[in-house]
Amino acid sequence: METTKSIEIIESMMLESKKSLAHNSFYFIFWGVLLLGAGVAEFFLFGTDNFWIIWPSVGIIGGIISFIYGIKDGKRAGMMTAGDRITAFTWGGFGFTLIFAIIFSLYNHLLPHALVLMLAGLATFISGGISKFKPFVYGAIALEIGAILCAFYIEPPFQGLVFAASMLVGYILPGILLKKSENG
Amino acid sequence: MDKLNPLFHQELRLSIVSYLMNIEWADFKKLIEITGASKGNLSVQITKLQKAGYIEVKKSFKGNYPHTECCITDLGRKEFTLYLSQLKKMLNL
Repeated sequence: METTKSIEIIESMMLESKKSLAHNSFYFIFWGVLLLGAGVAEFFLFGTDNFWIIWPSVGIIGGIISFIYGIKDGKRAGMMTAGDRITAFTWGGFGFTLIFAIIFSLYNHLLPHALVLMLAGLATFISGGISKFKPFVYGAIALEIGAILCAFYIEPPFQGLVFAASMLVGYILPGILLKKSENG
Repeated sequence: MDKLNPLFHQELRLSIVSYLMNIEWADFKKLIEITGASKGNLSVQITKLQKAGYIEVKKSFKGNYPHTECCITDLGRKEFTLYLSQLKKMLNL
C-alpha cells in the first residue's frame, strides 16, 4: 500500500469517528415541547386544585419515553465516543437530580421553575461544550436567565410562562438547529 | 528509515485502527458499515490485531444475538502513534 493512500485512509476514518451518532436533538425537542406545554398549562391552571400534578406527570411521561428512545438509539449507533459517554452521564445525573429538585420543591410548597431551569442550563452548557455546538451554550445562558427571573423577579402565576419561553429558547430552538445539522 | 509496522500497513486493518483511535468502542456491525468489508475479512483482520494486542474484543449477547465490541488498547494506541510519525517522516509532513 502506498504511503499517501495510508494517510487518506487515516484522515477519512478519523473524520468518520468524529461523527457522533447519538441523536441528541430528539431529547432537546421532545423535552422542550413537553416542558413548554407544562409551563403554559401551569399558567392557565395555576391556583386550581392539584395543578402541581403537571410536574410529576411530565417527569414520568418524559422519563419513560426518553428511556425507550435511548435504548433504541444506543443500539442503532453501534459505537461510543468519549463525548457520548460524558453527555449520557451528565443528562443521567441531571434526570436524577431533577426528580429530587421537583420533590423538594413540591414538599416545601415551592414552585420548581428556578431549580429546574438552573439544572437544565448547567446540563445544556456542558452538552454545548462537549459537542462544540454554540446554540446549546446560548440556550444554556437563556435557561439560566430564566432561572434568575423565576427565582427573584417574576410572580408565581407568570413563572410558568417564563419557564415556557426559556424552554423555547433554551431547548427547542437549539434542538431544531441540531436536528438540521444531524440531517445535513 | 524505519520499517512501517506491517500490521497497520494494510488497508482494512489501518481503517479499523484509525477509526477506533478517536472513540471508546465500536461494534462489529458498525465496523462493517464504515469499512465496507465482508464479515469474514473483517473478522480475520480483527483477530490479527487482537493477537498482536492492539485491540481488545469483547463478546456478549444482546437479546438472542451475539454482539462484538472492539476497542483499541494502550499498546495499539502507542504503536499506531509511532506508525503515524514514521509515515509523516516518509512523506516529509
